[in-house]
Amino acid sequence: MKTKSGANKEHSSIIELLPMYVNSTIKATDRELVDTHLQSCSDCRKQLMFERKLQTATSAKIDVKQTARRNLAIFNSMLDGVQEQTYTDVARLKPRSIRTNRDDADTDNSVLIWQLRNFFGNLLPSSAGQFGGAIVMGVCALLVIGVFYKHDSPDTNVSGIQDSSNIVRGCETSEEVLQYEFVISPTSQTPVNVEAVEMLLNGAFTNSDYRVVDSDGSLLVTVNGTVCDKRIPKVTRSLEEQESIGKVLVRSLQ
Amino acid sequence: MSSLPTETSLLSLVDEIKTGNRESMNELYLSMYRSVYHYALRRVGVADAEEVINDAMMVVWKDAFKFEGASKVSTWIFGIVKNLCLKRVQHDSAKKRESIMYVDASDLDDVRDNADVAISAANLDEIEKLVCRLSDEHRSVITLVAEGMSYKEIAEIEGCPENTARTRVFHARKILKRQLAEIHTLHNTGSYS
Repeated sequence: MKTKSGANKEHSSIIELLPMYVNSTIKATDRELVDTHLQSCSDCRKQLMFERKLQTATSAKIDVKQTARRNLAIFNSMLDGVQEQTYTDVARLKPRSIRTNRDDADTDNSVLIWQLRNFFGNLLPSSAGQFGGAIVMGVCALLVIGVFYKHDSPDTNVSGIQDSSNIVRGCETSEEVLQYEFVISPTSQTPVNVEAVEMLLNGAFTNSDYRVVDSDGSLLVTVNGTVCDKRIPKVTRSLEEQESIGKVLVRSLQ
Repeated sequence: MSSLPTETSLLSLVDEIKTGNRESMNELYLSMYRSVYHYALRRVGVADAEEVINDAMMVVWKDAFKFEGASKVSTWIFGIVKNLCLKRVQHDSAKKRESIMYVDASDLDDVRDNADVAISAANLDEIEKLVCRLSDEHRSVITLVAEGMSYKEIAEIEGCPENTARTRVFHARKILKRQLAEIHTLHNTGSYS
């Protein structure tokens, strides 16, 4: 026979289970407990009635088909707008020689560009992140195009993807195209240096000779061989995430 | 109560979205719209709900590659919507917020006897109106329960311990019952219209 306190405890726990009993997320064992308890407890049966009434009153009953379609159209135009902006940023960042000669490659790689923009854009904070993300994406787009230029090189395959431990390693040092080296290496867990991007954006490197160097897991920015004053907060991504991006890269280039 | 799509179908859509498939994004948008709209509606009102959803779906599009299945897709999306709703609420003017009458969970009397009768008499519209007068947190958990979320999922979305989610659900109901009882009393004395 249950004591009074034991019965109260059971009653309280059943009350707590009732919302999940009604919305069908309750475990099978708990459902049995509730069913058994309800047979002998009129208070809980009343509470069950309230719970059903409440969930019926608060569950979505509005017909949103029309508004959903209308808002989906707005959403798609938002996506188009973001993508257009991205392409504009890329065009602005590219050296003239590439822009004139590789327009077709641009189009062919539009999906890749968008994915890279998504990838790097999310590493960066707020509005600076979006703008900076576009810069980094632009750099990556250049790398991809640079890889196309080097297509015949025996040392580089079509995507620059060599093996699972070195997913993307773009290195373009042609004087005509770029004057810097940019390395993305999954082994560093730090593919992009946020502040480097911002500095690039602010024109810190307009003259030149700067490098983004991978050094034992963290990235340093050097200008003319001198390490910049500011150390940049490290942005880490898991190896799996980077591998995932690498696969996307391969698919996009195929 | 809930008509959320199955987790399997949502997962396959997210996998496609990771590759930049916009058709899958559109499908996910439409399949989640009703539930997340309803949730956003309760949290930020009709004027902002649609905008919140589009912002949330943009986050889904951009962050799909980050999703690793640690939670359910629906929980992940609801979490995004919840965060965006919170931002909206925080940026609301004080004037707007003051116009909403919140009921505190503290100092609640035991209103069981009166509430039982009131619940029987209450119609759904009456309950709906009372839910709208609850605090943001209480409105949120009530909507999530009605959308078929478990305590664990509610806790994930709300970013709180599971026990806190249980307590919020419990208090939200207790407040509603008290209000129903009060309205019932006013009805009987002829002073409620």
